[in-house]
Amino acid sequence: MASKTPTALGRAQRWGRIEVFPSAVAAIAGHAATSCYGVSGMAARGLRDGVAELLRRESVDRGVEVVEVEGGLSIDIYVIVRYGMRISEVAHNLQETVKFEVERAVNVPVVEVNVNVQGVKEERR
Amino acid sequence: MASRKPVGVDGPLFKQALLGSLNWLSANHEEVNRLNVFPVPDGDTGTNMLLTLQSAVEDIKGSNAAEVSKIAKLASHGSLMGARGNSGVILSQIFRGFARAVEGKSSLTPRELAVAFEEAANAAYRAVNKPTEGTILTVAREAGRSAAAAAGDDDATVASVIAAAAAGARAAVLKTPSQLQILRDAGVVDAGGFGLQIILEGMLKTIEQAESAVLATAVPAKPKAAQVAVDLPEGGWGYCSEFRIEGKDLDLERIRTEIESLGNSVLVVG
Repeated sequence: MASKTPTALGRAQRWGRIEVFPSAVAAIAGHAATSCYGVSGMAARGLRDGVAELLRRESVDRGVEVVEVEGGLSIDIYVIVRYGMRISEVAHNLQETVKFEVERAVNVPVVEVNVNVQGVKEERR
Repeated sequence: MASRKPVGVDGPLFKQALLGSLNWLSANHEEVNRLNVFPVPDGDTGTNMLLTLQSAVEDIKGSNAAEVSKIAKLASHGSLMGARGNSGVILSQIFRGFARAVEGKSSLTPRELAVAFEEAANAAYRAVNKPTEGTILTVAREAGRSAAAAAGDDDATVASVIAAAAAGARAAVLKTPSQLQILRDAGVVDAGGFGLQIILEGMLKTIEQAESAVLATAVPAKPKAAQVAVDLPEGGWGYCSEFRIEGKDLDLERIRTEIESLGNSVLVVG
């Protein structure tokens, strides 16, 4: 996962290098995503037997893929949303929140946030 | 009917109340925009809430349903389909909870109205894993609690319950900076919560007007009507008109400037 060449996530400073690993960014993005309104949780990438798997809180970063691209970061995010909501709008809010939180935390531009809604979960009553 | 105070919330009264909310939010949404710093400080909370409420009202405008349940269901559907932004999605859940609570009812007693307010807040809470306090969610809950407390009074009326909800919302909004660091740092109250307060105040204004209008026919020259008139925004209630411009290569900025000169709360989306 670690990038070897100096990139957007690694910067030479006067007293040494600072490098943020994509896995750290993934954790930040995952936590931002799960606190979003209407998001039930993160999902594992890909379906298991055709069913989306809801990830536990400790492993939210498994539902996030961070890639360094030209100009910054590209983030793919896999979520399960709650039933009864306008999914397109929840996804749009999710994009904005993840971009804002990641940029604030690591100070690297986020070029794109791709949201994959893997499933819809009925709320508990 | 026209000579008695409204004792319950039926379809037409609820419809009127929502139209009042829309008018009041339309007059105040810029103020809500200015407060917006959380979760993303992009200054669009007021606009998003207004567009969502507009979509909710759009569906009920054409309905003459006598039952409050039908109007609530239309508002729930309209706000779901037209939800914009975080606050809009939350607002749609508030309407959804309200609609569920009043299902099958043709008119609501003050007590039932308070229960519906509480259920609306509960529904909004259920859709998030880690609710952030000091937001519209907190304000919705406090409004519901305060409505429920008021409904416990023996002489509770529809107006007194809505007044309590609005007062509860106002108090909760003022407390939001003490609950959310980011608001405290920015020196503002929560935008979405303030928007909800305005929606409830708009309802209250309408209900008070409806009551004083009824009182005016029964007991002429009731001073309360004058006081309600003083609270109106500059230029009075006015009208809320919407229209759609279709075509190719429309200059959004030009349309906006031209239309802005026509009204005092103009919204152009494209």
